[in-house]
Amino acid sequence: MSRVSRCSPHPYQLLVEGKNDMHVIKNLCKKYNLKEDIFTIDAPEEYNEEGIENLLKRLPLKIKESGRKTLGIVVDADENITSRWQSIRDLLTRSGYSDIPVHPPSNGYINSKVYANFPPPLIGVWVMPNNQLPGMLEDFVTWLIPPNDQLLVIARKTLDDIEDKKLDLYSGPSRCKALIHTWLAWQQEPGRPMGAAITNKALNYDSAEALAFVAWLKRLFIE
Amino acid sequence: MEEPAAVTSNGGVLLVDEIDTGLHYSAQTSMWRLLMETAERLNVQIFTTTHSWDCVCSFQEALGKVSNSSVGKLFRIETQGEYSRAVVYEPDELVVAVRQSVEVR
Repeated sequence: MSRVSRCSPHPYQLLVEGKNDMHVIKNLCKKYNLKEDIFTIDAPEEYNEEGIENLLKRLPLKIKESGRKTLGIVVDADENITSRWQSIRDLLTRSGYSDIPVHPPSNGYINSKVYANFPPPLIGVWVMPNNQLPGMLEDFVTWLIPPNDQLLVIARKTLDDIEDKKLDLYSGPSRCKALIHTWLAWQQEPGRPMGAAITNKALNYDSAEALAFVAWLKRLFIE
Repeated sequence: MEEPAAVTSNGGVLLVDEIDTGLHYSAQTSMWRLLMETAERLNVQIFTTTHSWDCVCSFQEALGKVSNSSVGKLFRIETQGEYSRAVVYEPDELVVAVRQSVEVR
């Protein structure tokens, strides 16, 4: 039998696909002084509950949750950002939201329509990596590496080499996962997960995308 | 289990407050199945209340075991100022809520 938390869900919550997203975002928030009690991050507890399909099933229930004031949603664009946005848009429409744009705004989406009785929670959506390109959390994290980083150049070249020799076992869209984990393996503390690498300052670059993401979080949960 | 009150309410409505009170969680799925099957057979509409997550889980489990899962729904009563409304959870939503531990109370 499944369990729920003994305390009520936090009124302000961010819904993510998995634990990696949660740790990266938690550590980004620490880096940019967003206090932990402003919102909680809802990530699946079990690995087999991770991923976009489970998130899309969970989403309508999170909107209906008792006391919900604000719900942020972070999903990967994966290979087709248009269809990913469309599936989110359809679900939100079915949950009673309207005036949702056809394409995700580049600085992240926040539904600003005012509703009368029993207004639904304020909704925000960020499509990784930057609401414009196909890709995922790992692409976003790669943007936290300074652009002139020597190891990143070598990591890219290494992936090129093994792909030329047809030794790569990953599929094309997973290349950025292979890249970031290769790069992380060569840091002062090899093999630290992405979130921890933000805290220990291996991933320390204030890229425009990271700043835009943090600005979206602030607009959604604070302003 | 004793004969439920539903059998004397043929064609009518049965109201049960805090239906899980005093029942061990392991007995609750059987209780729900019996109620769902009896309600359908005798055309009785049953309204029950609970605050128990165990009871919600056993309700969902029983819905998965009866022949017609659309026989039951969960409603959460939400109050805002002087107004209240029912928030509906369909059987397929309850499957997700129980599996992914999303609060429905």
